Amino acid sequence: MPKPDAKSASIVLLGNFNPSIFHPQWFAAHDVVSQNEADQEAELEITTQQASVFSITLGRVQVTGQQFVITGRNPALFKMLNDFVIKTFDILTHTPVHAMGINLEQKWLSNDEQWHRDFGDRIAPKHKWDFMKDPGVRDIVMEDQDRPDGRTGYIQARIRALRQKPLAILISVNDHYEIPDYKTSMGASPMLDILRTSWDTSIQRSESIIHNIIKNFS
Amino acid sequence: MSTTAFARSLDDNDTLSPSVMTPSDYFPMAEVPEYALSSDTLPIDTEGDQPRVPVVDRKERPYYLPEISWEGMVLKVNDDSFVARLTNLNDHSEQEEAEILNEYVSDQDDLRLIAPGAIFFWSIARCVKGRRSDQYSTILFRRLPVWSKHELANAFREAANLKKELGW
Repeated sequence: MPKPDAKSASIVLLGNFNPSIFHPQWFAAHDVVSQNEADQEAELEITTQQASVFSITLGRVQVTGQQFVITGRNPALFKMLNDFVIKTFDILTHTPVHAMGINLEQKWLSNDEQWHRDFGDRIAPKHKWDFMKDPGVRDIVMEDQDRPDGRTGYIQARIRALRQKPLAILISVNDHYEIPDYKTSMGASPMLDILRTSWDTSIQRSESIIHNIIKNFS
Repeated sequence: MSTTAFARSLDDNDTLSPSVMTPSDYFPMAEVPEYALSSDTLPIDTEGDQPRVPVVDRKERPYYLPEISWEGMVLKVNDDSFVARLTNLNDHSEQEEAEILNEYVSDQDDLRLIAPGAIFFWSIARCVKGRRSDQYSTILFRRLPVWSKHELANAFREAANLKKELGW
């Protein structure tokens, strides 16, 4: 059986953003992070009108005109990504946000080459691919368009075989929400309401999808 | 241009309009795969061998393998310590009380957040960066968002409806 390795979670918002304001000092001024975090811990990569990228203890923030992303790589602090986004867009409440992804990703390591072959074969049986010489699964996406919570959107599970040693697969779940009939005047509130009520369920569901993939195809 | 099966066409929902800046505008040296032009709700860079958008740098970022993680709630505040109820995040049934010295709080600016009822996360993990693995402990307090007017209005409306249904 493979061994769970690096795990990350992210929240991706789609809308219209002004990247230049997304600076650690702005977050400190609004008490989203501490002043010490902004002064001492934050690592700035880019701050322009077109893109802002920086890292803080919680994770890495990347903002462009159309996309806001925070990605965390410490599972114990995943819930604070949710706090970070809610607090930020409670302040920027008029920012148009029409779609959101709550994403969970986990890498699994195994040195057992046979396990990898069997795993791939169960996902996409190779005997159906006999017109290729030596096929193997590199990347596959399954999409569930009928969300269990009845909201608009979809859930995607993606499985990738990574080109690395030890052998590894990466399973990602994209829990995608949309606001039907969205108008920019609605701002960020409808999506924040979803985030407030859906975070825990979403992460638990994604954990379950990842574990079921490993269990059912091993 | 990528020719992978996962390339998304510009007809997909949420795609960028032609007048909107594409990733190549702000990453001018990078080759932008076709699928990067769709703005779906996936993170910009991933662990995968084909990033969705060319990453700004190739710096190896650390990740954390938790050994034990707790969610804590402050019960009592002392001069240089606080007493908290800790819930093991790996096994929610396991709870214990502990006294924690203020000096163990990772961000000393968080000391002002220590008050009865305050919530924090305490993580002891292995921090892995490349071939290096160090033990890492962090205690961070949640900076919980305040209730918005919209949420309060919803809560009052729901309470009023409930009161009406119960005939109070």
